[in-house]
Amino acid sequence: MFSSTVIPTVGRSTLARSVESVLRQTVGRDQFEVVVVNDSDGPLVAAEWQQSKSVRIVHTRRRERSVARNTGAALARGRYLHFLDDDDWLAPDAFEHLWELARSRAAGWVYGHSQLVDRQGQAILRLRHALSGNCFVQAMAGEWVPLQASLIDADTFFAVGGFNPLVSGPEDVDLLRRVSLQSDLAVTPNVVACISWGAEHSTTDYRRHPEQSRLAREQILDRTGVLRRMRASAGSSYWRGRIVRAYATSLVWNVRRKHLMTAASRGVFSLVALLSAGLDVFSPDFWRAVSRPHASEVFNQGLREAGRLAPPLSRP
Amino acid sequence: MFCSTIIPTVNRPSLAGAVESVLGQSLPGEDFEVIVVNDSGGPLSAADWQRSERVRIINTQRRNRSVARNTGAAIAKGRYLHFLDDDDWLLPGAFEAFAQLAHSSHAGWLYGGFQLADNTGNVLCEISPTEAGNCFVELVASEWIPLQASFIQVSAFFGAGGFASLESLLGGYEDIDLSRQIALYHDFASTVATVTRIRVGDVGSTTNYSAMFKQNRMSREKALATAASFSRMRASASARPTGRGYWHGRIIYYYLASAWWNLWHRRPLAAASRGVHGLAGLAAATWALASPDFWHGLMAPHRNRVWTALEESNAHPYGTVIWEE
Repeated sequence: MFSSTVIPTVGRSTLARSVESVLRQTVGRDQFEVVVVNDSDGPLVAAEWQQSKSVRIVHTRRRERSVARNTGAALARGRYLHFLDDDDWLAPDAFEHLWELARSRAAGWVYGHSQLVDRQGQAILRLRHALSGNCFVQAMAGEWVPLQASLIDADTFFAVGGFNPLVSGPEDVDLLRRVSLQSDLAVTPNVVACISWGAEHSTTDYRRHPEQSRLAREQILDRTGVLRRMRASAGSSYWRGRIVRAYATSLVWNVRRKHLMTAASRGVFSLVALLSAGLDVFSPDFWRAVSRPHASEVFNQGLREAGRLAPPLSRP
Repeated sequence: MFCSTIIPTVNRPSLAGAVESVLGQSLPGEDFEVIVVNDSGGPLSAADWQRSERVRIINTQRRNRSVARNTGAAIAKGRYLHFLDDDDWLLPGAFEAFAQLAHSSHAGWLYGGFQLADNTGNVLCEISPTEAGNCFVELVASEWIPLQASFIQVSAFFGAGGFASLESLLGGYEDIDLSRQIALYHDFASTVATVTRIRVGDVGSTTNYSAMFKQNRMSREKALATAASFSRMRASASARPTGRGYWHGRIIYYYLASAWWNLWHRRPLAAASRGVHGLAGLAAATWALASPDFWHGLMAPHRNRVWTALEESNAHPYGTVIWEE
């Protein structure tokens, strides 16, 4: 089996749309499956898609999304894992593009572009992510790739330990960081997924977001080989500046929490990153990266384009 | 529901015995379930127990024990989680003993006595529980509280993030690692009842015993790197009913051994941090410095209770295994 789509749900009414968008993919039906992880306490509302042989349903007990997704992944039979949410849906030819990419490139994570839509299904903007190859420093800086538009190699997923159940909210960014620490990314310039945007009815607790994001990042900085992988992924003076900042912000965070030895370690690493930057220290880009938080260009680019946007993708 | 027993299996013939030992339990007024996680990649051989309404079977795709157990835990309905292996069995009355204990204790981890048996099922020795309360230092010392004889509160289990991925622990030790992570924040409580018979011996087992030493190191480093571990370990040593001096000596040993290990692996700053903690432990020991127990704890490797019992039974099933440096 080539891919398994894992859809964690709390029983929202949009679930049928998500599942059907997968079942209607234009590739061989026996080559993919859908694992719906019902994390609500009650039963799912009966629907036609539940009759499909390609669908399995498993019930977890309000364990949070990461646990639900890991559970679905453990049951999945596909070589690649695809994590969709119950309010998002796939473009009809999504698997065609993603599978072709997965077959032609040795990457642990392949993905395509995505379309953000509001709660009424109206197109907001298009996300044209361009991360490709070793993107570790970009991921550490907070660049993000929607899971809905991604296929993740199942062996790679389990080798990095799956989703961290102690991180909820930025668990997708955290997974991208851990995957990109040891594997490459590949992208196809086709819109493959539609993502509902907005916090309404969302189970994500965004208030816990910054602190959990920091904790998850600290755990990654503790690993060995991080500086080497970051340096290999930094292709410009801007990104080499970001390496310095990754360690410097961690230094400040650890000092505030009185983890002095860890702080000292981060200090040493930021110095090494600074000294090995060479002539970059004369570049304004380098210092812009060191002194300011990273702002992803993907959203801005999408907003600029939104004025001349094609009609929204039809809803299944 | 009171408890869920989770049995990961690779379809060994002993599975039926394990499941039936659970289905034979009685739990007046409460309910329980058995979740068999078939990680064999193929179908299970048909058996009577599969018709029981209390049993659910799920199939994972040959990932590993940690993934299989975490998956079983995620779908469990019980307030307590009990992880049994497919070659072990529960003894009659086990669930009743746990139900009584849970009634009087809010500890995150409940456990009882256990028997160790060889491959043919002969009992080699019996271990009764001694640790209770804050057991952190003993678990860091690799004392083994078997999952098979334990009931873990669901919230404590998920609060610790479940079983660590086997990759992060170089392939094993995930059970002791979980007990360490839970002991960091939760107390333990025990019942004198003997609840489980555990088969030891490496025939047909998926455990790689030769890597245990490194796995223990990875797990222990993880525990020592946690900010709360020093104070939790000291509180644990002070709370021991006997041998407090010994355990305070042990704490210093663990920090200094970790300092040395980190230095050896070119992590000088982590080494410095452990060294400082070791020295702080030494300075805080004060009166204990005069006790021979303290120096014994500091110098000699810890003798694991289960291991000692097995050695005394003259039936050591593994050969020689190094547990500590």
